[in-house]
Amino acid sequence: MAIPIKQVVASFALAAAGWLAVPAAQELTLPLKADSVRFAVIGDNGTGERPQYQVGEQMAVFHLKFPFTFVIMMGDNLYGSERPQDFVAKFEAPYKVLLDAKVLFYASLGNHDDPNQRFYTPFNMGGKRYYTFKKANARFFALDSVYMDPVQLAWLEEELKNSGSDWKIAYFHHPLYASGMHGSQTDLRALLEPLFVKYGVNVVFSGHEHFYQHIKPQKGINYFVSGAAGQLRPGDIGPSPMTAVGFDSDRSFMLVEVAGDELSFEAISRLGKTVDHGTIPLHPAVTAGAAVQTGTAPGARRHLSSSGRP
Amino acid sequence: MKAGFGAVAVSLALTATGLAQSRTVAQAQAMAEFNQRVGAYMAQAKQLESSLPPLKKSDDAGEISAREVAFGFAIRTARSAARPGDIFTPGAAKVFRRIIKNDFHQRSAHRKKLVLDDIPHFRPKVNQTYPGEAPLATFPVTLLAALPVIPEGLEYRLLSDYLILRDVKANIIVDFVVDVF
Repeated sequence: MAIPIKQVVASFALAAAGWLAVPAAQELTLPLKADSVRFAVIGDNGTGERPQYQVGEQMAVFHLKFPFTFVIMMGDNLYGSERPQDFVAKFEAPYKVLLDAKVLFYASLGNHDDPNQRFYTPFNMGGKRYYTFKKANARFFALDSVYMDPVQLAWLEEELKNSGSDWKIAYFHHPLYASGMHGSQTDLRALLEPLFVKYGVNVVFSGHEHFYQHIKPQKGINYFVSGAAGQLRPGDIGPSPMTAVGFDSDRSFMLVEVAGDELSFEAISRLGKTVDHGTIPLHPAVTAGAAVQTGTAPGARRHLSSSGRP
Repeated sequence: MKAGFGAVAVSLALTATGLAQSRTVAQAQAMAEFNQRVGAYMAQAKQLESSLPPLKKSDDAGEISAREVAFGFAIRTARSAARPGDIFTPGAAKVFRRIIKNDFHQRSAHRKKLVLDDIPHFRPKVNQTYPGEAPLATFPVTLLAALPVIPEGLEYRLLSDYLILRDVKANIIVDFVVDVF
């Protein structure tokens, strides 16, 4: 298994004023605790173009040091045509190393996806547009935000209500909070957020916006936009007080580790640089200090000032 | 004189109430007709589908795609005489237009943008395969909640100025309403 390592591993990079010193390229910040749940997050990936392959290669490199067992997909799994050869060029080939290593992919649907992708076994959707699965003490809810009908909402409420898991992690294509070209999906937020709050969803991942954005906790919920594993809209993150960290100058993906009552995350660029990392406690109220403790790298922006974007 | 005005006012109110009632009845009839036609379509589609190998999970994307194409072909053949308005009858189309326009006009600029952001621009035809290159525009959740519930297997989608009814498994456009925004 030949994995190209193109990145130069440098020493710690000193950040500019107000920024933290962060590990250099390919330095893993995740704790790698025994028996933890380890997964990756990609979104808006299915272009079939070179940058998608490069992100796939980078994920394979990190998989060696952080052996995640599955990947959650934020949708737009295949852009454009969806012929059999497109499934190869836009999914099977870019992630071949991971697929060969038996890493599972759990897809959600984006607005560029044919809902019949749900029958494609490697996407592990079980023939359903929305579904749930459990890994140790974490339950995942993969939603279809493109077509959020009342039936799906009722299903979600029932599943959340009956979920006994410690961690409740939802993911879907459209971000409830984002400050890019599309902005926050306020209609969707009006329906989903009350359910998330009522039933204690801890973390929400989305895509649609082609960048990485870590949102400050909203009503106690941590939101991430991870929609740049194939597409990129450079410089698209508008200033907003809700941004904890933003990165829109290159493609990216995330690694996440759930260990007991802590969830650690790391956002990594196509070139292998850590652009954001931190730890989220399961019960923020009993943890001293900020709900989310993070660090950022040069190239990522923190605490952008307000400019009126939603 | 005051009594005269009062009588006129009462008469106008009764007329307005009567008109509103007759409009409500007409709308209810139109939507009942729509539901009946949707039901008839689903019965026909189910029968056609039973003649095909079942759509099942597969790691072969070609198999899934071939099944979708075969089902679309079967429906297209069986409904070769289908015309616009067969399911969205003129009465139903009027109700759908009103609901969508009402939703759209109540939206802020940002919420309008969210609706229009991903909408593909092409003119639909009955029995047309939904083009693979066109995104399936996100359907506004509040609007979806306001529209009649349709059976699983069918879905509403928005195009530039159209509401379409799409068969999900066959990926074809079953019918459409024009001038919805």
